[in-house]
Amino acid sequence: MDLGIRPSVEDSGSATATGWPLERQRSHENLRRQVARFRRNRLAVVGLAIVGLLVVIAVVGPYIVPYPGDTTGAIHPEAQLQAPSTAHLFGTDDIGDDILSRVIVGSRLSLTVGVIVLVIGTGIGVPLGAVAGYFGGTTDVIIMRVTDIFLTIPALILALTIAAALGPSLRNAMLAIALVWWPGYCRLTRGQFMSLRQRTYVESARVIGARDARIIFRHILPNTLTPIMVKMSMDIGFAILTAAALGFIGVGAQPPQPEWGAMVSLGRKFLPNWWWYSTFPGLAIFVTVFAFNMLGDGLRDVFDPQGVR
Amino acid sequence: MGRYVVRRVLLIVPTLVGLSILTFVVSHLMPADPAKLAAGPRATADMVQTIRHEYGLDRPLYVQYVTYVRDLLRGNWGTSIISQHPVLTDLRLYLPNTLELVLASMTIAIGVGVPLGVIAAVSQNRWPDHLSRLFTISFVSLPSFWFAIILQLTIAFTLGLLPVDGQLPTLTAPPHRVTGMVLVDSLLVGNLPLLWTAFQHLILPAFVQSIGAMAIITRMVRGDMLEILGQDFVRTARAKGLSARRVVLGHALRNAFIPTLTLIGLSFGFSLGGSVLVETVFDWPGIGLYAVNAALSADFEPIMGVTIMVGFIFIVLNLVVDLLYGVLDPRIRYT
Repeated sequence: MDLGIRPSVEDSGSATATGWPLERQRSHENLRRQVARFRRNRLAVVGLAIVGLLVVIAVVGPYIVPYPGDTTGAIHPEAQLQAPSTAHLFGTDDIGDDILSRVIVGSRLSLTVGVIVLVIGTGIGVPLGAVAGYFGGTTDVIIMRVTDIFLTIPALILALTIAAALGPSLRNAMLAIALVWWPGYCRLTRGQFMSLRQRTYVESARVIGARDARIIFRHILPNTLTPIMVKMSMDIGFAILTAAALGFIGVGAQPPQPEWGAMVSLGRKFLPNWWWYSTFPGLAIFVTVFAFNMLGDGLRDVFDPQGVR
Repeated sequence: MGRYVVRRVLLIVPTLVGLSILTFVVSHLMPADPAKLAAGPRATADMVQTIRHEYGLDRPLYVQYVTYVRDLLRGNWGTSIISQHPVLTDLRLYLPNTLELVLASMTIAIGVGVPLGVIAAVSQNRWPDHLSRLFTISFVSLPSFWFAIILQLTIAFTLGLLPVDGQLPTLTAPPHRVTGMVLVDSLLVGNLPLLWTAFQHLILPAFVQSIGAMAIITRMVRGDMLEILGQDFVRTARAKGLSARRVVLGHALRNAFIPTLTLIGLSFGFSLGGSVLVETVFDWPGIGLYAVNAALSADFEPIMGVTIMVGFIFIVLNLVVDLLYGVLDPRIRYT
């Protein structure tokens, strides 16, 4: 069906054989090349598939779990600590809840945590980095000093301290992790801005009178998005891992929330005889983080192949 | 060189100040009013106010900060509610154990990671390389606490090859304290059976702790080696007729050492942070376990103490790495 949407040769001035202007055609080819390159990386494709599956499970999961009541901690004394069987694929826990159901619903918690942590982290880090990189001078020095201080303390310990101070809960754990994560994005954005602000197009924009804010948002920021998104895709796995670690320690999600890390911790009391309690939630963490890391690795390979592959 | 050293050492000061500010801010994040907590549930408003004044909590914030720093410098890091000892005393007791664990894990990480990285680089894009990449991503994605539990289940419980947890068997006295590290001390004292037991207890925790750093080191060494192997001087060496092994070990590896050094420093700090999890699973009496127990009992001073100590160690570590950099690569000194 011809909707008549076609570039006319007059208005672009550089139309090619396909009729599209040169720039648009180049970006089509670019995209196709990137997709092809991604597809060649088998591990990354597997990662994408698993992540896709996880998202589906997280969204649809609560509606298809075999034992919906168990996800909020219903007590079934008669079904305590049963080994994996056809009725309970992952076995049951100490209050008789089906572990498979809890693991499935836990995926929603873990994925949400990963996303929120990254959103807050970039929400703080990117603007600060942009300001530091663009304006330079004292602002830059101050912001970088603050960033350095956060980076001197190992992430888990700082997150543990903040979460302990705020009080154990999933929400505080997310906040703690985000506070530990933002310096990385600040640094990255600042580096990008420092190199990009020298470019000619920025100077031209300034010459014609564009205000700083406009230059930052309209001109420089779009060009920094790719490295930031690559970093995000590589970070989301670690964000989930850190959240699970905090849950394991006990300063993250609290029972009866079916958070994977917390479940591994609860299962420790029942080692080694009732091994399934700790094993399966932990396996879920591993598979999830592994998939995200493979995906992130593949994306980085496509968009940012600086290191030797 | 001297000027570089002085400059670099002086740079620590603002970072240390920043660290103290950060910990001070975090310690004031608590939603609960510490004066009310200390006074107890049945205190009257007057009693709470008295306690507040006693602890100096009604002074302006910057005054409280100055007191805080002064206390830190004097060695008054607060008291642990659980142990009833000063935090610094507790830390001095537990820190060597964590250091023992971290040093052992770094040894494993470097000892296995560097050769693996070299192998991966030399066999680029063939199966050893792909296999090493699979391992690398796996190790980095493994939750260390879960991996620790799995190893406990398989190797310790089921196969009985290694002890399940602890630094020494229960009711076994540690050796005479020289460094505080059981392995080193039993060697120094000459108690070989104890040394052997301590070693057996150290293996699993150290191994679990090492995998994260091992993965990163492998990747980094591989990347650096590939870069170097592509350079001209390598081609020259090969053209001269030197064997591949001579080229790799004698020429290429030496150049890859410098960036690996920073990495090792970073990994040390990484391991130090992650030791919290391994210590919890293996009941290893280090500062990580100390911090976790404090966190779970809302005992706040020990957690802050651990954070400050770890931050301080990290800062000193970065300083050492930077200084070593200056020694190894003279170009750095002029930046």
